[in-house]
This record gives sequence, C-alpha cells and structure tokens, in this order.
Amino acid sequence: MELTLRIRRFNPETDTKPHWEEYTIDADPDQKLLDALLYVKDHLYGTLTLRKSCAQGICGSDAMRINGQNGLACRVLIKQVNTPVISIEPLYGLPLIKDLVVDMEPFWKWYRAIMPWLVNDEPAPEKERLQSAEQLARYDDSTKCILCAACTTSCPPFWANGNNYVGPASIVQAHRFIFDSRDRATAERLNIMGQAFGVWKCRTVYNCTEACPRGIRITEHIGEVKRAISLGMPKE
Amino acid sequence: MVSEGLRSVIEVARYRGRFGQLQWALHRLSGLGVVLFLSLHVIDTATVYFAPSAYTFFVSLYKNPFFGLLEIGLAAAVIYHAMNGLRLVIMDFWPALWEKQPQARFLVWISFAVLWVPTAAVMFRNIVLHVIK
Amino acid sequence: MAATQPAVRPMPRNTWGTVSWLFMRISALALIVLTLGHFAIQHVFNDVHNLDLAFVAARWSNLGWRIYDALLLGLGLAHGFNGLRIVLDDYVTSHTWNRVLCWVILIVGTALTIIGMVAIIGGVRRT
Repeated sequence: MELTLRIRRFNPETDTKPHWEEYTIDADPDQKLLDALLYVKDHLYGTLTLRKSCAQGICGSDAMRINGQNGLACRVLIKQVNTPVISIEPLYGLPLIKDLVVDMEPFWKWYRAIMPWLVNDEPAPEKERLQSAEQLARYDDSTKCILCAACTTSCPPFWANGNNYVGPASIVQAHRFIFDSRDRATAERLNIMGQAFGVWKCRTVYNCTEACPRGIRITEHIGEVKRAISLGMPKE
Repeated sequence: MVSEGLRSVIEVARYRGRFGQLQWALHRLSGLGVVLFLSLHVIDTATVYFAPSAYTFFVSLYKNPFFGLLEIGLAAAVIYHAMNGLRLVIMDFWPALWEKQPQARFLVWISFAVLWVPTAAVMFRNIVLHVIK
Repeated sequence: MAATQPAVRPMPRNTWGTVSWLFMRISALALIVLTLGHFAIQHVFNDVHNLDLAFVAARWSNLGWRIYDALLLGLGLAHGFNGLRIVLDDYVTSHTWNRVLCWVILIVGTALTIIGMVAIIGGVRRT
C-alpha cells in the first residue's frame, strides 16, 4: 500500500527550527512503523535520525509521537494506525537534539532522584528473600516499566513544568519499591514522593496510562502512592 | 517565565489524548469560570449589607435575559465540575477503580445530563415567561 | 547489598501537599451538596426573577440558612482559590512571580471571605 510518512525533522547544524517533511513509500500494512522509518533511512534519506535497538518493545528506545499520540514505533503496526498519512514527531517535553532524538538526561535525573534500588540492610538469608504471590501482586504491574518516557512526555503538567515534576515514570518506579515487601526505605521514599516536585503535581489527566506501551495502570499506581502518603500505607 | 506554560497549553490542543485529557481540560476551565463568577457573586451579594441600593441594581441587571442565558452556562460549568470532581474523589480514595475509567466517564456525562437538562429547561422557561410578561 | 548509598539528600517533610490534596477532596464532597442545593433553591424551586432584598432577608431570618451560606462561602472560596493556586503552580515557573501571585491569591481570597462573612452576620440592611 502507498503510505506517506510526515516526519518532523530538525538538524541542529543547519535549521533554526523544526519543520515537516513528507516521504511516500510502498509499505506492507502488517509491518511495524519502525520498519517504514528504517526503510526511509536506509533507501531514501540516510540523514533521518532516530533511536532504535531491540525493535520488539523491550528496550524502550523508539518512543515517539505517532498521529498525535505517544507510542513505541516498533510496537505499532501500520494497519493499526490505519491512515494514509502518518505524522511522526519526537516526544514533547524533553530537549530536542535532532529529528526524532530527544535528550533523555532530564528524564534520567528524575529517575535517579527516587532512589531506584532495593534498600535492605538486614543480614542476607541463606537463599532468596521470600515473598508470597499476594505480596508480589501489589507491585508486579509497576515492574513492567521499560523507561521509554512515553508516559512522562504525554503529561500536561510535565510539559508545563518539567523542571519541577518527577513525572509519571519516576512515580511508577518509586511505586515498584514502595510496595515491594523486601524494601526497607518506605518512609524515605514516601517523603520524596510527598515533596512539591513529587506526586502532588499529578492532575490525574490519564494521558500516561493511555500512552504506556506496556499497559501499566500508571494513574492507579500514582493514586496508590498519594493514598499511602496522605492516609498511610495499606495493611499487607 | 510563563512561555513554557503557554506552550504546554498549545500542546494540549495538539496531543491527541483520548477522553482523559478532555475531561481534565473541561474540569480546569469550568473551575476557573466558576471561581471567577463566585468572586463577583460574593461582592454583589455582600451589598445587601454594605449598600442595599446597589443590591437592587445588581438584581435588576441579572433579570436581563442575556444574563439568564449566562446563568444556564454557569449551571453547566458547576454541574460538570461537580460530577467530574466526584469521579476524581472516588477514584482517588479507591485507586483500583481507575481500571473502570471508561464506565466512570460515561457515568459523569449521564449524571451531568440528568442534573443539567431539567435545570436548564426550568431556567429557560423562567426567562421566557419573564420576557413575555 | 551494602549499606544505603546516601545519593539523595534527606528532605524535610512537605505536609502542605498532603493537606491541600485532602482538603480539596473533602471540601469537594461538602460543596457538591451545598452548591447544588443552593442552585436548586435559587433557580429551580424559586424563580431568580423574584429575588430581592426581602427574599434574602426572609431566608436569613432563619439561622440555619445563614450557617448554610457561611459554609458555602468559606468552603467555596477556599476550594476555588486553592484551585487557582494549583493552576498557578502549573503555569508560572518563575519562583518570584509564583510567590507574588500566590500571595495575591491568598489575600484576595481572604478578603472576599471576610466581606462575605460580614454581610452574612450583618444581614440585610434595610434602607
């Protein structure tokens, strides 16, 4: 089928601002959008710049805005988008480097700020630290995060004030440890989440949950953290 | 200073968020509208004590059918903000209900219609009756 | 695993965020009843065209209605102006302007509350 990719391009060496470019190709509707983009890069315009790695929805490298909604280019099939012209832009809310590549450093900075490591200084048991299925179920969903930044860059409060908000991804990562029965830094984590740059900047817009390519129930988990801070941790 | 914030408002229009984004935007707009109205309303009603003749003036102004129609719009803003707000309060205290988001949105619109349509009808009828007189 | 790495500075608790979040939700529940009731009384069960000083005086002769209106006034303004502060926090990122406008919101909100409360307590002044 004939497919037109309308891509927002920006070359920092020659352009003063981004602009749209259109590329019409012959595409297979069962293919991924990433395949179409790589076809343009490999056969038409080698200068097209994007990030990709595993190309199967695990590494989170190719998050971008597709027809106005954030998603992973390697998880979206052309027939799912189902429009003759597909518009593709970089994620909004992080500094633009070139074409579809954004600077992820502000995203990592907020990730580091939430202490993304297990804290448990008790003497190590002989084998594993045991956990029941119920205990796992409390945070299992938030372990699925692949740090693709699709959620954080779909968040209007983050767009407006990204320097003062951790963003949904960091809260999901914090949730993963707060509700992990093996972690012992709950009070510290909740204190970080309760700061002005933490959960209280969330306005429950719900874009994050809709953007997440892993189907994580982000708004629900942010809500669980808000409840834990204001009403106390739920009984195990 | 405010430019990042302004740009973000434009992005809200460009991002194709599904109903979640629309409900949030309407909640914010209706809230701003109601708080603006409330500020004026507190002053105009306080005149019953501070300047009763001014109160009579304000009331005669509000009997104008144009204001009557604005009041029907105000009713929409208050009722929408209340019903959507109720959804938010319930989901904030029971986060597991966020999974039922599609049904909750539907309920917001239904309860809005149930409350606003009869209210608007009565208010509109009152305006018409007053104009005819 | 080795001892906790102190990569994150310890921070004082931020109770204001929690208080504001809880207040908005609790006041919301009260306001749903108070506001919809007020609207129903003024616009549906009565015709707003019949509104005049005598109508207000008649309602306020009952202490219960004055308490109702005082609650509506206090909670409504607090909920609304805290909402304004939240919108401010989203869009005004400059620290100075944010603080200045925050104070403006607080002062205007308090002033309106006082004006309204004085009027409710003072009642309708017959000319």
